[in-house]
Amino acid sequence: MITTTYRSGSSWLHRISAGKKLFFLLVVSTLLLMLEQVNAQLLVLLLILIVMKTAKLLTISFYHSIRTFIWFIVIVAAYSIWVQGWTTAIVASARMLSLILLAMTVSMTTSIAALMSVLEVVVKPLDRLGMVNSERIALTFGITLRMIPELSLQWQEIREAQIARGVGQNVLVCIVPMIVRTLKRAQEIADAVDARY
Amino acid sequence: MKSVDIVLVALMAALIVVLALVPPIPVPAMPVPVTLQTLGVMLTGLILGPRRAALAVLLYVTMALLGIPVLPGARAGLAVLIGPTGGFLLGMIPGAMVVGWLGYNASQKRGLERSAGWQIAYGWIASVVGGVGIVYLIGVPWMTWVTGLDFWKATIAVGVFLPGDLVKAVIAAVIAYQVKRSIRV
Repeated sequence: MITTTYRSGSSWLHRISAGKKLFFLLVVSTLLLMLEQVNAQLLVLLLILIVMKTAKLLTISFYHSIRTFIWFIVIVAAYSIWVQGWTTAIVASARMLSLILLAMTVSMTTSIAALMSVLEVVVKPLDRLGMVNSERIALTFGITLRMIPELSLQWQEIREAQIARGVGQNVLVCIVPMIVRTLKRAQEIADAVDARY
Repeated sequence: MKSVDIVLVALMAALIVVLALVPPIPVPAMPVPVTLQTLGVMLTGLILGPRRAALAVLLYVTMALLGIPVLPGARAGLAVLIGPTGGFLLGMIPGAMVVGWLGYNASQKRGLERSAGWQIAYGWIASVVGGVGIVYLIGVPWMTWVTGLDFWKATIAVGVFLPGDLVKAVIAAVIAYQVKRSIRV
């Protein structure tokens, strides 16, 4: 079972519609990228943390998922202090942290189904213009999601076979048979799709 | 697009996911671990051609943004796009397209049919231009924008990934050549 970024819950942030949250994210991100004052950046960061606290988002699993980003920010900040001085470094790191926290807040409080429905709203007008076919997009999504575990299994099989043949731990020798088998499978699946429609 | 094209797009997107989730390979004398995500993108371009490759990578990136953990290290979510490396993720879409545009037909080029070396060299150039050049062209300015680093300093910072990416382009070219010898789509 794969765990997505969504954390189910019933906070006020969970109840806001996905479209509104995405729009808010877009607007605030743009504003943050234009904001250059140290105090203002730090204030925004504090506000975001308070908002997250009220929605009970600052949990252990949250710290777990933000760890890699924190490391990245620390490294960039150190580099930035060295080449550009303290002020720029603080503004940039506070901004990065704010942006990442905001985006994570949206991801954590909005289910994949809700985000998909926003995607649908975007795709609909294009479908009416005949530029895309939303049914086929849904089909493609469905096949991909269905095939990820299948292909992981196939990858494991090929790896075990290669190790049994004595080619060792090198993953690269598995890629050619992996792709060839996948491409052959595509034809079979396409036949099945054609038979149904 | 025919059904088979749709299925190929879906399956190559799934294949990029599987490759991206292979644990990072530590390479001696390299400061950063090597993941197979970019390799997957280059291979998609070389094997599917510009249109289908761009769609497959678009599908992959969309899944990541929706929050399905398909990026290396099982990461996902909007934070990845908005973070400093977001441009590298978005850049993979036109990147795959350019790889396909330059490298998909390498074996059809006049005079190249018989020469494995030339076909591989051709695939390598395509992978470097699209999978490295275009991706960095979008990734580096994005990074300067988010981190406040200036352009050349950001370029030096991401330069540690360059040797690995150039090697991955070689691997992509060799693999694509071998695959295309047994099956063409």
